[in-house]
Amino acid sequence: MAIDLTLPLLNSLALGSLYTLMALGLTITFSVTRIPNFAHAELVTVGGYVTAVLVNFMALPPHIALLAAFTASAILALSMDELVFKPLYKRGSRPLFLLVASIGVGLIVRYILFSLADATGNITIQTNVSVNPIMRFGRAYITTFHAIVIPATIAIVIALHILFHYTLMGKALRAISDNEDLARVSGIRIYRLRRVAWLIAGGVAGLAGGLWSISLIIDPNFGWDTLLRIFASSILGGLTSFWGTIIGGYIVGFAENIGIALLNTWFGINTAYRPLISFAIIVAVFLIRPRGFAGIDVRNIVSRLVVSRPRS
Amino acid sequence: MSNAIIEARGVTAGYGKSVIIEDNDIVIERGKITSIVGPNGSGKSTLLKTIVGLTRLFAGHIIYDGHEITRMQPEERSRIGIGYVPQVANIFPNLTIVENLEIGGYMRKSREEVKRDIEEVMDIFPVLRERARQKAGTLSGGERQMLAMARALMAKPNILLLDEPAAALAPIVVSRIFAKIREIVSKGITVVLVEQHAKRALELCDYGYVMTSGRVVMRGSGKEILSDEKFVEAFLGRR
Amino acid sequence: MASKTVVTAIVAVVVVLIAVSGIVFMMGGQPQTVTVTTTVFQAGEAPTATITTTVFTGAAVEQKEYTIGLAIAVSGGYAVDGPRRRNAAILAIEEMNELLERSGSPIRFKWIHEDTKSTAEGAIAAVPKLAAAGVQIIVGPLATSETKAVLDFLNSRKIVAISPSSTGTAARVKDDFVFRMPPPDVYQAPAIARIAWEVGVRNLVILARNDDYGKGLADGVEETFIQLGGKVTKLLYDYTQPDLSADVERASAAVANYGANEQTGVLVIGFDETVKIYDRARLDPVLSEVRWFGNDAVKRPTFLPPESKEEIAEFQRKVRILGTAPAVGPEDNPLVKSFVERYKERFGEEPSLYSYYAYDAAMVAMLTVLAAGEYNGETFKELLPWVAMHYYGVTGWKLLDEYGDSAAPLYDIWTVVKQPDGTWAFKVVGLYDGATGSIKFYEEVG
Repeated sequence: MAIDLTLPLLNSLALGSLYTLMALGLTITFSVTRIPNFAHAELVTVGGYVTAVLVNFMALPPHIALLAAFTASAILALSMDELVFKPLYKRGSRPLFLLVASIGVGLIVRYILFSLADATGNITIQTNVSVNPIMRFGRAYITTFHAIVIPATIAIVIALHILFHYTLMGKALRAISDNEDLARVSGIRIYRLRRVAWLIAGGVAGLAGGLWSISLIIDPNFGWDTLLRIFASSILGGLTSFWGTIIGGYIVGFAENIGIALLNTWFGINTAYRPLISFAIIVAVFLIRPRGFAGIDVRNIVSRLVVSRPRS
Repeated sequence: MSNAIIEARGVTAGYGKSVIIEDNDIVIERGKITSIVGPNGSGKSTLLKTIVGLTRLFAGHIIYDGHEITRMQPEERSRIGIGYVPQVANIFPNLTIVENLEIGGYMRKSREEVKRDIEEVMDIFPVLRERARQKAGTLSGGERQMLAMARALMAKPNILLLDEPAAALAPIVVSRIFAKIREIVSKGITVVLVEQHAKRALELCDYGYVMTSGRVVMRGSGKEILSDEKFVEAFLGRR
Repeated sequence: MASKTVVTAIVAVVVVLIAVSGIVFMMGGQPQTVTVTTTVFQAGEAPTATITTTVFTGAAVEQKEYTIGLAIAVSGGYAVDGPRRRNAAILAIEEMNELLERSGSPIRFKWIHEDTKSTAEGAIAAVPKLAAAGVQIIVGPLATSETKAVLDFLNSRKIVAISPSSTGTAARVKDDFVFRMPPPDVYQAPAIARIAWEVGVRNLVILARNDDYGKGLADGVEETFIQLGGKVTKLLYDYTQPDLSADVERASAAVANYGANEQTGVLVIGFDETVKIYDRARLDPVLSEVRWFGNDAVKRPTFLPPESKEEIAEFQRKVRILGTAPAVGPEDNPLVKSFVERYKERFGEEPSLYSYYAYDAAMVAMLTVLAAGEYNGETFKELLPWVAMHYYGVTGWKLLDEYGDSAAPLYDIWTVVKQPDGTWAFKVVGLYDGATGSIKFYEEVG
């Protein structure tokens, strides 16, 4: 059977964009704070719900709702850090404890969402913006969703690039990521500046969740269910690299969609095994190329998570 | 000593739960070069980090310019004029050379002045100008050390703490670094130099401390220490 | 047809009366005649039959009370529908007591309810409480997981249970004390396969959720469809994934491979996540050109506005979806109309699908007790299949197979239509009779 890859190609582009947006925030907070934030998943979910509720029940225009989703997730991310991670970090907690704490924070947010969604009868919801075909491309349609998500991702990547490379604040954030102690003795107030990192990470995650809720019926688990891909994208990029993460996001998107299409066609492997592709990527990076694409040793970073860190 | 810029009294410090240096008193005089020497693992670097605020302080006080800074965060200490160049990891490898210098001048108000100073640094170190847009991680050891010092100087510190600036460098580079240190002092900046190469450091300094096993065991002017027989025997060996 | 169902209704009533009289006779009371009049109605019409029967009752005999246990979840997953099913069982008991009182019988039924909380653990906690109260016959539990959990307990204590809604294969056991009123899942697979074949589909692409339910049903459909002479491509999807576009894409490729024409169909076997599949498929030019099929779980309000988007409903209409759902009997079953009326009058709302089965479960339970003449689980187990075989209820014939499950399954064939007032609805367009494998469409399904 001839393989027509137009449909998986379009899916890959859209999903790769979303994975990129979600993984960027994870990379940013990991770089600046060294916390592998599992609660990042919930920032995505909250963004999705905020967008859906504002559009469906308050009849707000989608772009205003997406802005609100950005803000809500940004504030949630900041509160997570101020209330939980930063106090633990200052007390000298090991990164492993911070990882476990982030899982706990995620659970709390998720189950609050569950109870709110359940109480209002919206366990599943989808933002009411109609997605329609624009033009045919092979066996697939290019839809309005593609026309929103792909340019939005490009715009955010450019905006973040400008922030990190052309503003002093952005450079200071990169400095913290590179060498926290040296950043401190350079006079960078790391505990203030990391708020910016959380706001950006949360905001972009919320925006990604909001965009996805247009194309996807979401439930309070959807961020968590996607977390594997987010980590795979970030790890592919070496966990701390901006461009590495972007490449990682698209690789995961393409590997999952085109990869499963080929595996299914050639070997009859069922599409139910699609999540294995993300797992395989993570394992392969650890085994074969621990530095990811950005020359950063992921295995080393991960092993450092379990070693104690000096108090500061 | 009325002209002290830094006084450390009864300082006991370390990392996590382990104590590295115990009950040390040192005084750094304004406008002078002070050297701290001692064998590997004697706690010199830890003492320096304690002044900067990067260790855990178990006991003692640190006074800067007459003010108690014992509980102050490292970033605030650097903001009141304490500059520091670590021995390793003393640059931001993924930032460009210009960005390293910009971060050096991070807390200064006037970005115009920072720009001018960066130009000035580039004039002094043409190597850095050539590679201004390259990542700092690509520099060689000597170039890194130059950049590290230049980064610290960008902040216009009152005192500069240097942790083994000449370690593992070629002799020709070492002499350039030491020339640079003298130049820094001539501009009125107090310098504290931690060195394993005791002779070199003591010849250069106005006042010196000798540390072993986490304690200051000897103090005096560079000449006094160098002429002390016990010291020569223990640290320099008979020649 | 109408006359046939009226006859069957009469048979049912007669069975009840014979049973009542039989019990009373065995009680050995002084015979006395009482006249009972039962009227059978068809909606909107005059009474179609009036039966006047004379029965014997004992006078001034001591009242005898039998207990029906209700092990029905009213919290957890069944928080909404559980109470409706319990209400239906209570209605049956009240009606029976009314009849017994009018006939002068000294027998009355009472019920005890325990909440199984929609979980296996809840059922394991609730059922022994009923046993401790001396209950020998139970209506419930609802879910297959709950039913399976108490199976051993019921068998060892020799207590009969009649589940009004368990259909899973996991609780399909021979010679046990558990009986099940709705048709089990194994009968749905041939139903779907035969319906697809009947409307001209020869190549079927199955997209099923990757769990016991999805795989089991998909395998069953595949088996029947291949026996009929068709071709099948079976795809499984991981239902925990938020985005199912890659799975939909594979289905699209499979359809394109067969050719997107009248001979190709798509069957999705899923639960609520199926709406995600529709939402992806509606933007696929190939998938929207063939006919789609569905299982009973996708005939839910979730799939129609206002709970879903307009486009989702529009898609189902575009692909002329045909699905199966356990039928409450032929549409013109006169018992159904009167049951719905009495239920609404008593509880102020419409009965839900499985309320019908709960009503029949309670009726079969009580008739079994009456037929047994003693209150003993072992006797009930022996008698129940015979009683059920002679019973015709609001869910049709209750003939049981060797597993104690409904052996004469009737499935409604439904589709999605837009009504004149602009709202969307599921519409029953045909009936599949599992006893004969015959399909009857009430209208043209295009």
